[in-house]
Amino acid sequence: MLSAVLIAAALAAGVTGAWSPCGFSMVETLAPAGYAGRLRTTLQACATFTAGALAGGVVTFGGLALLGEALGSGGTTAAAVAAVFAMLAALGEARGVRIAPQVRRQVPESWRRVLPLPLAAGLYGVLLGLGFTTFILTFAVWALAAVSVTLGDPALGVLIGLAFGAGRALPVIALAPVAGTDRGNAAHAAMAERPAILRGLRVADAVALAACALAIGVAPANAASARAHTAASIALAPASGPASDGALFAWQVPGQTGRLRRLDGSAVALPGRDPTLGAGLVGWREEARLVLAEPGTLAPVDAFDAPGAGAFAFSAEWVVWLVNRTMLIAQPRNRSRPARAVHAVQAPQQIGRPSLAGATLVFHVAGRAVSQLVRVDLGSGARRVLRRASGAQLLNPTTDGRELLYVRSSATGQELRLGALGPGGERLLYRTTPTARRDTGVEKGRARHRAGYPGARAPRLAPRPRPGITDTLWTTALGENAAYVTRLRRGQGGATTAVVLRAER
Amino acid sequence: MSESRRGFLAKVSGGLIAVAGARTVGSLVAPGEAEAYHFCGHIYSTDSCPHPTGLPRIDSRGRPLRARDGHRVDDLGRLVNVDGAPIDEDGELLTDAEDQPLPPASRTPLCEAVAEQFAFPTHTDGAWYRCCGGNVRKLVDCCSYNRRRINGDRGLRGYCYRGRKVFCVMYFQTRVPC
Repeated sequence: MLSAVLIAAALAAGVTGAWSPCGFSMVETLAPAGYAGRLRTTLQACATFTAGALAGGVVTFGGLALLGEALGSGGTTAAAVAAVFAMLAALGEARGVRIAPQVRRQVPESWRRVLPLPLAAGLYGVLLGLGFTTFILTFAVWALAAVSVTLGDPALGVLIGLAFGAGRALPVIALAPVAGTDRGNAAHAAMAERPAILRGLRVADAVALAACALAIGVAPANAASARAHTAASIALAPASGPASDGALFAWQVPGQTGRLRRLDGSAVALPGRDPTLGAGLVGWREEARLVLAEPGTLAPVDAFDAPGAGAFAFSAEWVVWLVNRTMLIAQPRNRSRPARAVHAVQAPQQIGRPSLAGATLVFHVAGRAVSQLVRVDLGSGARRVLRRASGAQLLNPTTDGRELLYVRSSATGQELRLGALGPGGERLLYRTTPTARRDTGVEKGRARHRAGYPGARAPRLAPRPRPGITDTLWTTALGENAAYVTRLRRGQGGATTAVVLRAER
Repeated sequence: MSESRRGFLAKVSGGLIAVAGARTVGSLVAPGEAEAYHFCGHIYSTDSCPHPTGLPRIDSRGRPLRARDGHRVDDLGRLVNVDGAPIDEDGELLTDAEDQPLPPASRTPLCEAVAEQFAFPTHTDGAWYRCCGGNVRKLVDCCSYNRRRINGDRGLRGYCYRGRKVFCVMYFQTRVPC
């Protein structure tokens, strides 16, 4: 949706640009009766002009998006800023306000005289496609530039650039071949003598920009997720083991007890460790006892004996706890059945922190031969491998019953992924460097291979963590508007610190 | 006189033969391009097999080692101990926030990982040995029936058998001095 309206706005902005001095000049320059001399040359020049305009558009808007990405744009705030820019520009267009700031420059006239016309046309196309090198006829150009930077999505920037370039080329290649004919002369005269056409185009720009603002502003989360986020902010520090349930949020302070943040924003220390949330209650572990309590008063409402328990999870129907990271034990909340093992592995394999939604239990199994995310239906006992990886690790899934959030770690990067609990697509919410730091891929004094690679360019190498830093993305939590992941960091001193990162959903 | 002339001619011809022979031998055993490629001993342009830490150093069983010190690494590139548990540079176990060890990951032989990544069968075929860094180095080809190599262009036969072509290259650094 967002891509479609941005493309429409860029196309309209490009077409509007034909009413600039350079736009008119191009029609004249490429006409068969002009420097081209014949229709064949005109068509060649139209082709190069189009290619140039597309390239120019991509350079400007793709480049601005890259700049935005480098600046760490994206996310809800950036989307809101982009929406404001688009709406302001829409108002300006709707009211036909004179463009400011204006770029009072034109393409070099001499090129069409001293260069072969197709070459000159290509270069003219680049300059017009760049957008900011000649007169600007619509606020949409400024707005699209701002949107490209604030959204920071290079793929979207390229699309905007292509649409803008196409818009700039379209009137020229439509009119130049017929310039000098009756039809061409009439069209040229209409462009030059009927302000209503330009006015109508600016209204169309306004509508497209308003649609952009709406698409960005009404659904900021969608706008933010139009690209794969590469940024996440530190939500809590020091903290690990996040849990989210509606407006409640709980976490573990390393070496201390759990914490709970309530609906009103107040945070309290819990009497136990490994806090978790579910069914409107908060839970914690007091040695071998799991306590479920009212979040407002912390008054216990239920408790379970769980010898050897570590991390645990509960829902309205079940409570599940992890023992020695090698066994998961489940018991119905109503105690209709005794506690029983639902999954066990042999060390060094490890089972990860459980996550529970109703009777649906998910967890990871990680070992030297296997890395998989497993789902168990506690009611029926049915077991299913949800995801499996070779050469990578899948860690600490969380589910709300519909979606699955987990960490995928490989030698090229660590990712926080959100997808359907069943088969279906996935979105990348956050990506960072791999845990380990690679070398340069070449020995000292040597260079990478280029032979055989397309364009003699070897593929880009994965980003590297800073020297001496070992980051591991670990436990996750799924909130209504955000996803959370613990980042463990081993520094040069050997100590492990933990923070909880927040990424937009 | 004639003896001295014969002796002179013999010396000249002997010298010419020696020079020609040295050139011939030199052209056979010392390709000048050997030093141009991305790790010592590798004399063709086929690129490295994807390796968790970059340079495609492997152990005798083909599993990944960190090039700079020969330390074992897992498929994520983490240093691991003999049990496969991830460790830091000081050999201490990597742990979570509660000091519990992080789980181990797989440590797949490099050529097998290539097969999984690129979805076609691969074979670790022949090898060649050269002297690198004061030790003998074994240059190993990861071969396949794929016509293209990792660079994207046509693969070379290299040290591969049975009509297979080199897809990517690895090396094993022996402890044999040279």
